[in-house]
Amino acid sequence: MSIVVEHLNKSFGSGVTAVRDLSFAAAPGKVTGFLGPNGAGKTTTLRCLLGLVAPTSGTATIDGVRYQEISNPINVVGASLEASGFHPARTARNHLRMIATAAQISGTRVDAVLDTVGLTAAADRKVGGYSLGMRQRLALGVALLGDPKVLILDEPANGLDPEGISWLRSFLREQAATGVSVLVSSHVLSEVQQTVDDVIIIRSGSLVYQGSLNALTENGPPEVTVRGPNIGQLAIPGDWSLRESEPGEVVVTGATLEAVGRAAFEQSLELHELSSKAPDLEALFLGLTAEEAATSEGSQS
Amino acid sequence: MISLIRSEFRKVFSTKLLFILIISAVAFALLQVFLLIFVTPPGLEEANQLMNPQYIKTITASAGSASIFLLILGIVAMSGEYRNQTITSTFLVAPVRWKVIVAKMATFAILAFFIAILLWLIVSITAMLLLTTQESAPFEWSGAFEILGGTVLGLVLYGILGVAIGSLITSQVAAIIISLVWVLIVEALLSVFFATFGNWLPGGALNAILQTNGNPEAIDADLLSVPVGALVLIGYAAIFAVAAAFFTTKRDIT
Repeated sequence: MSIVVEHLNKSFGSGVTAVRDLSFAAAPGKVTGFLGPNGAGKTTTLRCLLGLVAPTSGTATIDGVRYQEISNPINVVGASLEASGFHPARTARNHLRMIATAAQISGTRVDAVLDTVGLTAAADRKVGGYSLGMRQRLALGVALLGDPKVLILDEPANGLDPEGISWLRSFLREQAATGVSVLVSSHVLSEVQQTVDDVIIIRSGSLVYQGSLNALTENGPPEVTVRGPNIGQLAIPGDWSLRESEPGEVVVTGATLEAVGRAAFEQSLELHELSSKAPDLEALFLGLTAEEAATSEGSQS
Repeated sequence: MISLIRSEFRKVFSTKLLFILIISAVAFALLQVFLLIFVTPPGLEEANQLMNPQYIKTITASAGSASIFLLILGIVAMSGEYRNQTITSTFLVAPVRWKVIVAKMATFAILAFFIAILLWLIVSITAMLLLTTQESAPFEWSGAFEILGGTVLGLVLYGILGVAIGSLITSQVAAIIISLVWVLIVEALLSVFFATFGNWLPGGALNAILQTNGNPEAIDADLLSVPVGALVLIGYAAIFAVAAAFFTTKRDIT
């Protein structure tokens, strides 16, 4: 089942435009990262997809229909959203049961889900005493209750410890391997970098990139590192750029490895290293979302 | 719809809210019974005997005056879903939102029904026992039974009104304060200064179905008749319920 967003716009009454003409699709069997800085409109988009927020115009559908039109939707779409809460005095088991009852899901499934997300031991404790990581696990448990074919997860890695993040990674991969469409949002690329197949990057409510993570790095300018005793004397054409990373080492961008090697040879410069690496993803991501990142930095924790 | 109602029952029974409000409602009703029996204004003793049916009705109506606790219960339960943001999960399971509102109202109506009978029994039995210590007025069950229907209807409708108010004013604190100010101050003042108008307000209609304005002296209190009072209160509950369903469906859950 595909997740399709077409020409989605959402303005709130206060005159704030959260999403502008956003279109993208997330395919089955893949983990799609939905990236952008805080305040870029990720949560609003996901809430439009889930029928919680009414789009001003455009559509957001799952397998061609709006969420509200799916009968017993949590058996089709599992979602965990930021700012979806728990009653502090209710236990995790009771929270899951209350949802399971409404969706006619058995108590056995509740136990199974508690086990999957590693909360069996804490299941009968009040959620008020849970850590952020445990709440995230419970939220994920809610998403899994209906054994859905689509997973929509808003910042699921927030608050997870490294062990939890690694668990989440392999869990999402497994889900995708069984044909589930996974859409996972994050404001930190490195969190999802190793998990996602495709990425959708938005800034100020608009799409800035959609495609595979590989294509993103291939399109970016590679960096060539050159080391040698007199490398500071390397002269380059105007369309390359060069910075000295440390004494005796420079990083050239805008040129291939071969071109840099030839330039050094022609200038008779002694080389100790000539290597290229893919551009830093985080730097690319920050570049794409720069405008917003500067303003929302204060709100990131 | 049945599964949504069952889910609502799970919600209610997995927190202490219901328990606390039932205890409070019982305490409130019993306090009124004590006041009516032991602190009746002087000079009323004789009248008590003479007007025994009204006196018993007024005492028994203490059960119905605990309706305000059902109002609070409904408000806290509904606005609590916004406060704790469980409303997101609730609407993800049941995206056709009016069904959630109806299920919650049905749940609190059923709870109110049993709470009303419980309160009525506790109030009647307490009054019967206490009145045996007062030579003045023997307890008449016939009077108490006349109030049973009004007590049940009052609590059920106030429970429904509570859910409606909790979905119209989603800030829990604001919803409770506005409702209490309305019931305890605005409505009370309007009833004092514009009695006829006051009779048509929810509180006046509640008094009508409980056949008392809480003052055992005021046997001639000019209330609406029981059927008219019932219809007026049902009308308020229906209007608020429809408004709640309408605005809840329009609302963005952010």
